[in-house]
Amino acid sequence: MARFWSLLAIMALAVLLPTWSAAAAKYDCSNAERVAGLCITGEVKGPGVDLTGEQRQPGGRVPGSREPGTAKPGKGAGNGAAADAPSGNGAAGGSARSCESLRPGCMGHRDGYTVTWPETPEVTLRDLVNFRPVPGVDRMEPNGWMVVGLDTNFFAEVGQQVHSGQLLGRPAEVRFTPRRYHWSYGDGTRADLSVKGSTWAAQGVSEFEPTPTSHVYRAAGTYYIDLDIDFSAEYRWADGPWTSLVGTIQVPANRLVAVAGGAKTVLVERDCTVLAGPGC
Amino acid sequence: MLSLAGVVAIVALLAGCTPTDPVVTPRPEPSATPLFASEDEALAAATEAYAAYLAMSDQITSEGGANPERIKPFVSDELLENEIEGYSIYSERHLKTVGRTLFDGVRFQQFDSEGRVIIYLCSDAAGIRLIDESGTDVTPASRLDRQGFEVEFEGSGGESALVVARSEPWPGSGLC
Repeated sequence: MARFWSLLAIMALAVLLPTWSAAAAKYDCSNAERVAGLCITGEVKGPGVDLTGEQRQPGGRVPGSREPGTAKPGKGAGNGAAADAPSGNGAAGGSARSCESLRPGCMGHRDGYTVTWPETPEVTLRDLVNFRPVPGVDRMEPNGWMVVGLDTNFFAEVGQQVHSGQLLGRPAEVRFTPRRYHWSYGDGTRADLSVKGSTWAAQGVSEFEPTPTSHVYRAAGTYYIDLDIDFSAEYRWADGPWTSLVGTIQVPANRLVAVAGGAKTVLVERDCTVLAGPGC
Repeated sequence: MLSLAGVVAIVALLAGCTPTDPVVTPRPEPSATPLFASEDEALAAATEAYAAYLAMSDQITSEGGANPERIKPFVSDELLENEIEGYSIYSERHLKTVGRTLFDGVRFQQFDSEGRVIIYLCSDAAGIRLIDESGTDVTPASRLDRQGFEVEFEGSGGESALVVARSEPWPGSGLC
């Protein structure tokens, strides 16, 4: 019997999963909410993402703060039981809106209390929160120098990042994902790549071997290498679904300064296999 | 002993071409019949569906959020719960609206063979006000009168050809 139930559970999951993934990128603001000024918008702006929300609230208090005089155990006073039911947000973990956050007059259950604000007066909050991705780090092998005519391995240290904040007193998150890497090698050439690269060792290749992100310098000299990373962004609010934002954010990484020199084949004093160094 | 006709019938059966039971190669059925012949047609249907949705939405809010299930024929099944939640703001707070939500600047984005259509539009709420019980205008001063939206529709088996499946606020002033 237990096996039957677990099988049933797995089947139910299998049925539900596609629904979840299909709904993952959707945020909906109905016309009724829009007319009441209750839409959250996110926008890629300059080096970051702006999330903006509007909310009508009684008394100018922020959700989450509680006034002892208005907190009552159990059911809320007079605001309608339907508003208190968290199940109204659906089985998939809730929509972007909830009674607690958006409905003036209804603050939901907290610690066994239902907190109800006075009905008037109302103020409108317009809240804005800005998120910026942390820049990536540009690295190179060999570190700080290169051999003319041989591959220098460039790579970026960066990953997906989630930044959290508060919007209208509820958690707001923005997720940045690095998408493209624009290397400017300082010798007049550039590369726009979709891979960030890694060390020679990580790729299991020998030093000075070509990699998807390596570059060959043709002349000796000092070079300034710049890297810009494009991030895509998604946001979510009040544990709602992730919503993708249009546009990317380009963030410069650190500048590398490196010297390219020639290399000659030389006979070294000691055994190269014992004293391993660059070029051995 | 088999008659000559019997032998012929068996041979014909083996060859898969008995005269009484002709083997018809089935034509590949399209996964869905395209609902729209052109982008213009899809845009027109979406525009009509959105106007119908707004009209009902405005009617429900003008009546203080009463009988919110009236929006059902105009939205997808998945969206219905969200919609009804939106109207409860009005019924709980004894608010209603006066006026109408308008829209303009419709732009086609895409449609597919399953009847899914996405358009852009600019929603204009300048002519609709939020009124409380005492008749006071409580429209939030910060509400954007003109707000861009990306609206997705899907085919429905009901009366109207399309229903609203998602209306997502479009940031910035690009659509308005």
